[in-house]
Amino acid sequence: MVKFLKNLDRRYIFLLMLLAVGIPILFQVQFPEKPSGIARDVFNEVEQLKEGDKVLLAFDFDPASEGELAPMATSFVRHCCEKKVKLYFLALWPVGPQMVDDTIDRVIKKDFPQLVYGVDYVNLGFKSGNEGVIKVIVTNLRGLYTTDAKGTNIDQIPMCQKVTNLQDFDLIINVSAGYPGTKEWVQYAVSPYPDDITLVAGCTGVQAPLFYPYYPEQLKGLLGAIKGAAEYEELVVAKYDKEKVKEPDPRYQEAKRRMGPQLVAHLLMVMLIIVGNVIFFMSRSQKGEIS
Amino acid sequence: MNKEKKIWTIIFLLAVVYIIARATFWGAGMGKGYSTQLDGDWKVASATDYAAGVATFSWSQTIGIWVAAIFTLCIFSFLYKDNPLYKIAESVSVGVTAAFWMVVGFWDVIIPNLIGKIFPAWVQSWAIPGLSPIREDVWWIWIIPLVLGILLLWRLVPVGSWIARWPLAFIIGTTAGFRLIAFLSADFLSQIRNSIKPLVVVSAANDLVVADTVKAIVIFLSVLACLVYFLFSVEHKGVVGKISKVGIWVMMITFGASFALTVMGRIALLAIRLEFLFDDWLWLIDPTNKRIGL
Amino acid sequence: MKRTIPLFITAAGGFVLILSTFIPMTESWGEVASVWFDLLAAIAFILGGGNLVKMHLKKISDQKKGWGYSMITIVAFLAMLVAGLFKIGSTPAVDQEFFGESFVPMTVEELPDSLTFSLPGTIYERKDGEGLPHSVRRQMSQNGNKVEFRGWMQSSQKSDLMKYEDTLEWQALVENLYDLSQPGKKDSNSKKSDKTAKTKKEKTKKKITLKGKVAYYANHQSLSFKGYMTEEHKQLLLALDDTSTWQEKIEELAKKARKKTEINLREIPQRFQLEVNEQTYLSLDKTTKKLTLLGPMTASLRDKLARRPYLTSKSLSVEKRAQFLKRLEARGAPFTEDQRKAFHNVLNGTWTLDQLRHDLSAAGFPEEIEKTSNVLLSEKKTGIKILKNKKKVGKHVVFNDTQNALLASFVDDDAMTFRELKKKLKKAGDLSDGQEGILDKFRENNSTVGERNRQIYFEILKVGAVSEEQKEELLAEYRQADSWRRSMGELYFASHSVKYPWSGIYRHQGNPFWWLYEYGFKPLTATMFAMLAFYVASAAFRAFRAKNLEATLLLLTAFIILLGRTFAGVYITDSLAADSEFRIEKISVTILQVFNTAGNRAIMIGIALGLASTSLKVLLGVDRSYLGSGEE
Repeated sequence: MVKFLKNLDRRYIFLLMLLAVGIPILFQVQFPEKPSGIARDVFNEVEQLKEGDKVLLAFDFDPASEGELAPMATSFVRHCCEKKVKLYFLALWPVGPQMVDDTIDRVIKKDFPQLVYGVDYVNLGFKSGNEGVIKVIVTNLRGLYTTDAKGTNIDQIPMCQKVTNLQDFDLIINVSAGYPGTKEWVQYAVSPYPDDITLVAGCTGVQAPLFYPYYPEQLKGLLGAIKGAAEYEELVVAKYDKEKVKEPDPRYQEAKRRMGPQLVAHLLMVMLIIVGNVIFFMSRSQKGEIS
Repeated sequence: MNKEKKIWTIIFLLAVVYIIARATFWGAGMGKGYSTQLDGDWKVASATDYAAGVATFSWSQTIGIWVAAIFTLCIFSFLYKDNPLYKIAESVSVGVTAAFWMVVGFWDVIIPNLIGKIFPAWVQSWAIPGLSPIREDVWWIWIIPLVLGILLLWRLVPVGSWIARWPLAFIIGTTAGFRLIAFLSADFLSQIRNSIKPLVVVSAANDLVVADTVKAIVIFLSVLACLVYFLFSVEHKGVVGKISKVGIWVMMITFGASFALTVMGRIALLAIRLEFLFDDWLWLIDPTNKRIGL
Repeated sequence: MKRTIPLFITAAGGFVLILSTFIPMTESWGEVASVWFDLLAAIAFILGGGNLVKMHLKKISDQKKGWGYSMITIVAFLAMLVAGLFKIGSTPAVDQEFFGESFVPMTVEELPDSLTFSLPGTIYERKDGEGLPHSVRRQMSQNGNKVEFRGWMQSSQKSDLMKYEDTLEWQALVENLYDLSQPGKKDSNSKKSDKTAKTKKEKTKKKITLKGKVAYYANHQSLSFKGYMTEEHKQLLLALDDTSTWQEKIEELAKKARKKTEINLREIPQRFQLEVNEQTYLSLDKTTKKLTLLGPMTASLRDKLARRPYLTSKSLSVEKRAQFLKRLEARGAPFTEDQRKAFHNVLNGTWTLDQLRHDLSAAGFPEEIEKTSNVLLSEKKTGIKILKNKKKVGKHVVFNDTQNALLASFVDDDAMTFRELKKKLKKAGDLSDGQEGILDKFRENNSTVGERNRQIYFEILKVGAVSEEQKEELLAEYRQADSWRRSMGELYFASHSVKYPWSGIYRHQGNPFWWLYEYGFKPLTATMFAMLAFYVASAAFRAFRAKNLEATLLLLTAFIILLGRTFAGVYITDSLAADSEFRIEKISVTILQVFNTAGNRAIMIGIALGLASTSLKVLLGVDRSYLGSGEE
């Protein structure tokens, strides 16, 4: 048995992983979520906004990380719409505008059709240059953004007329998959203007540990990985659905749905590590006996 | 035919039979796409809209869903072993990704922010009607990045490609300039400040908050221990050795946390692909109620 | 030179950015350098694509192993590139197309003299040297001691000029010039009619002006007319100038603004009727089911026609709900308890009479509006030191008993529309503009009966079966409304003359580029990354060994986080008190917020120092590795 496991073809492990993730998805296994303090901080930052406040949402991710980040992007937009703030979207990744369009279609056009483009929300689009973009727009938005993503002159868009730079926003929400992302927003926007710019972020699991040092001084709140998204969803749903005795829409519980396969896959990972180590120690002791 | 090939052929045939059955007569079908037309524009619609009678079956969306599913399975086939299907999918991926970035760079940046600054009236007349056709007073300054851009593209030309070093040097220089200040400010000075302030945490009523104070002190000491470990110019012996050992332990805890969160991230990515296959393609689940009535 | 000049460029670029951080006067230099960097980054995308093509073409021409795959890469690349660069299938940008307006080309110089408006005054010269806003530069000029404006000023130009300088004198001048330059002020027809109007027809004729119908867009060098051009409008325009150029342009504009568009209707809603003023340019033949429009259609007309035949849903009384439910159940099997609950939940979401009363009451208070600059200037001249920007207009309108009774009966009367309610409320008493706006808002923002029924259908279907007859009962009106809306959309689109065919978004939903992104790029890149989940599992099994204390610490931490970040952790330590710090989920949070923070902080500090030294080495020319080998 030990020999079999020691020489186990890795494709069996792949199959185990496929089953560990696939079966909970097929049977739609779900578990309750309990929000942590850091997710609550993100929620509270958005919740304390007043009607008409300006919020910049920077969607710096692509389809490769959509699994982790789309649920938090959806919840952020929903929360902002419920708070009746003005939403300004932009992206530092080339595929970012597509993510913005998808979120607008998924949330605003379906549940908030009364919101008017150019008055309540605007998509400023993508600009190349990574942190160079932030460096320009932190003092002069029109240095790079002369039109929105649809080609309308930014000065003709009612909600953009009084916005001159990033410091005019009441909150910046960044959803980040890598470079450029939250780190660059902290370094080039928050650090030079710590009193004028407030930033909260959602990021992938890979990046999350790297941003804890920025919390809570430079980053007011952080949603790390799908778990962070599920916690934030729970808070938004509790406030805007459960309190109103309304059945939450499944679109706003995407991360919670994905936590089901997460749990099973995590248990599999723990089991694989334990089994791997048991085999290692057993074969080491066997070698020791032989020698 | 060897045993492995036999097994795979049987699995493949069973899968094909299942898919044909599901797609044709078994249940509501699978992998169908719908669209609706409004104001001269076609938009993707859901199966629910089709059930409500306001959308029609769309061949392009349906073919698209099947193409996406087949590409997904082709990429997954690499897990078994490298094969031509995977290579085809990979080749397509490389081609579309490169073209995507080129198109985005052209329409979102070069046309409005470069050509639109030098020839605003021309760009405004056909591409971006919202742009102001009036040149800025110092419009000629944008000729410099245009020239640098052309020099950068000269890299593709066999003769004289050394000239591409000039724009490259500009990129390197500006990157170094950006990062020097940003990293020193956000990742050096701010992190030192965050580590030592506050070391003793008091509440609004000036009472000592023990738990937070202990945490702050532990963080401070851990940071110091890790930094001592990074001092490779000093031999790690005696007191320095013991402190750097503590630093290594802190780093190991950090790496353990990173590993765990990385695993979490990767699994979420797999979950969304399987959700696509089970939901949009096979129609085995409907978590977001996209197919009520079908 | 090949290697020296780049060193200077590197140093210059870097030090400009560093200086701009510390010296405020050089901030704009830093901004310019950053924008150039951003532009070069975009050009680097093109370089990347070009390099890819070069590499694969070489592989194909050399017939190296795997050249077939290179061919596939090139084909996929070209398909995506062509579809994106040429915006194949992208419809023109809706916001840039000026739907509902007809254009003729006209430069500022071609505008007649009668469209030159001037007032005594001086164009202010700003201390920062910034010129007039771009939107007015072509039209506004100083002519002696007068400020001249050619063409009709738009409200966006007015707001740009108001922002240009914030002195009251300038703003008052802008306001006056704006008022003077509006169409309809100088209409010669209206002057004649003022003196001679006796009959009702002549009095009606007096009201025809160009206000809201014409515009001049200097940036587009176009004269525009909105909607259908009547003969009176045409005469008003022709009267503005008698040069042959102007006359020809107006004839051309009239032709465009009277273009006939006809569509076949699938069906005509019962309640649909054209209003009297619409019959000038719209005609409906119920026999042949044809709708004919003269001139282009605006989005507001389209929406108005689409919505007109369909009533806004109202809250139903208990009796009406019971009747509705009974009617539905009679057409199929009785509903289950869950279905009835879902039915009532949807109806509970409809607006109520109390909400309408509350909003109308709030809108009845006098509105606060911004005072014009002229008013503020005259107040300043009279010696008032503290000027108040706003003033209240209108009186406080409180509904009388008749109006309140009308509101109550409106909710119960299924057939009464919001328009009818508005008319009746105006007849019965006062109705402020704000209150009229509230009624319009309720009508527009709330669902129609068809939309409500559709929602009911899907909610009850989620929890039980629904018969075909019940489905038909609930969805018929929604389908009909959708079909009618699409017909209006067809007419809207068919009556429009495209002005900027290339202005659309390259990634417009439904076009080939979008298709390749959605069904090629997206699944491929997402799946590539999804594969990592398998590799991490395989690596965990094969490589992660607790060989020493450090490795054990790493693995133990990983276990705690893996379990603590899911429900498994909550379950394992569920027996502990809810606020216990030893619950796994709390331990995982502590690990992340204390030890992980400390470790990453130390790493960050180390990286920052390393980066600072590397950057300085590059900027000072000590590190020249980025220049490549010295062979060329």
